[in-house]
Amino acid sequence: MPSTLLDIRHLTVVYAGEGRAPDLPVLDDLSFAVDEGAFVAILGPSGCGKSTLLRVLAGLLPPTRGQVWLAGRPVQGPQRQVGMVFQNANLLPWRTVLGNILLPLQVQGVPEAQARRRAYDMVRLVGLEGFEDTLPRDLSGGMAQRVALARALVHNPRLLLLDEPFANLDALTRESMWGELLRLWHTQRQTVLMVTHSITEALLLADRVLVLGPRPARLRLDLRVPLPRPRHEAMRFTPRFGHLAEEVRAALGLRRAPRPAPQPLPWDTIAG
Amino acid sequence: MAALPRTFPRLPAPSRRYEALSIAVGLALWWAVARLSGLPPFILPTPGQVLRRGWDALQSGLLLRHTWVTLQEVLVGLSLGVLLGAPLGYALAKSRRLERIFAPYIVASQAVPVVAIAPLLIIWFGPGMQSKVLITVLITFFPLLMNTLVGVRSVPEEMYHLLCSLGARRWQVLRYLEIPAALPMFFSGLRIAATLSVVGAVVGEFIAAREGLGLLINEARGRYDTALVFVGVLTLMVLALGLYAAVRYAEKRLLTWQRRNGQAVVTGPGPRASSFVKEATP
Repeated sequence: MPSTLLDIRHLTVVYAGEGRAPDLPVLDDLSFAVDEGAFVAILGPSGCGKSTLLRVLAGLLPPTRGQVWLAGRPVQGPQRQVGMVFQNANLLPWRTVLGNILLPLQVQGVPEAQARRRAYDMVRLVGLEGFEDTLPRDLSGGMAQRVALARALVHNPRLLLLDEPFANLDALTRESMWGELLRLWHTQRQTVLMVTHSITEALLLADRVLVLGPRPARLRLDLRVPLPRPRHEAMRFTPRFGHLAEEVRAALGLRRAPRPAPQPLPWDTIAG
Repeated sequence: MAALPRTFPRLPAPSRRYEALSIAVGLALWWAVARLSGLPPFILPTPGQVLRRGWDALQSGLLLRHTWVTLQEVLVGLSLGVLLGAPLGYALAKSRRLERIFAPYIVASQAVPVVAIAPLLIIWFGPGMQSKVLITVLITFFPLLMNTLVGVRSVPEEMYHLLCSLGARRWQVLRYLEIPAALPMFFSGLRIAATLSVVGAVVGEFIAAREGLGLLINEARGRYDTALVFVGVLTLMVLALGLYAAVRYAEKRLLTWQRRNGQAVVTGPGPRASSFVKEATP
């Protein structure tokens, strides 16, 4: 029985309106818990407060009401147990690949030699050997996002927060990054919370998909993804995956695709 | 795996010879006008006469003495301008309230030409080096302040989130994020300030001074020693260009991460350089 790492209780966030602007409620009485080692995806319409949720979890934004508990302690301010990946790789352009990965360790005052060893390990882990001294401007989008992943993991956080990390990548790079992320998750065993716009991405990667409604966001659906691991990209062409996707689409308020429910075919039992 | 960075062939850089040729033609024209127009040397001396006058002034120690004074004023003034402009620019970038408080004075100090305030400073601080340094500070601190301010303000919010999420303290944000991010803008301010600092010192020396290149030019003019005026002006030019080159050199050494002009590095798909780099490049 895995222990609970993250516990969100009655979380409400309201942005105070400036001047005469009315207050803007973003999250409304949100409660859920995440087990240690789980991979959870959060889906929701644009502007529903998914990014706000991540910022609260990272301790960047205090909740208006409610509490967030991380590893048995309430979150008050930034957490060293959290690593974050942003939509844009968000690399410091004056630092090399290695320099960017070193940043969290420098901020946390890890001794130089130890930090460099650890950073080199991370470079190898994300497959960027030989690019240690490359500047971000010379990296492709996929490579930059690998560096961002390495940077988020270098200080060995317990919780990895991903804010639409692959949204700005082209379709092919995104698919290769899915595999990369799963591989990292298998070796590192962090708890992952990923905000995404892609139903496929959510279902293919996560153990559990949370669907948020439009602002102010409430939990619309808490779906366990019963697909076996290791996951494979081909799984998304199975009927089982299709059914799950339909369920998520319905929760998001999207129209059901106008086609008959697919009949199980003999090879589904093999692939799925 | 994405493609390795490839470097496109640069446009062929035109040879340095063109510059040398251009200067040579200019000197020849000067010489021709001075010679063929029949103007007396106190109106327009030839390059040869200026060179001879310069050599004399150098031998007698006159030129070096005045140059040294002006150089001191420029360097001290510019340094103080940096020490004043950069921190103030940072403070104003971080606080809209401070910006409001200081804005009237900053705008006023820039609306009035320095030449007009200079006599006041001379009255208050005397004809010595102090007043020249102050005029130089006044003229250099504004571009330094504004560029630092814009540089700090241009740091993307997401980068602050990154540093904050790591639990960085105030000084760590300054050291790891704000200073390196604002450095390109700061340097473009410093380039402007370096050239202006020479203007500031000479303006002060023109009004009242005991020594300095401004005084040298002023006195030479009084004696119709036009060749010496030319010597003074050319020395100022060398001073300003030298200062500018020193700033450029420091900039190139410190900002190696910046995209160099005319060199396009093309990589695989995805955003190549963050918009930040483009904005920061002057």
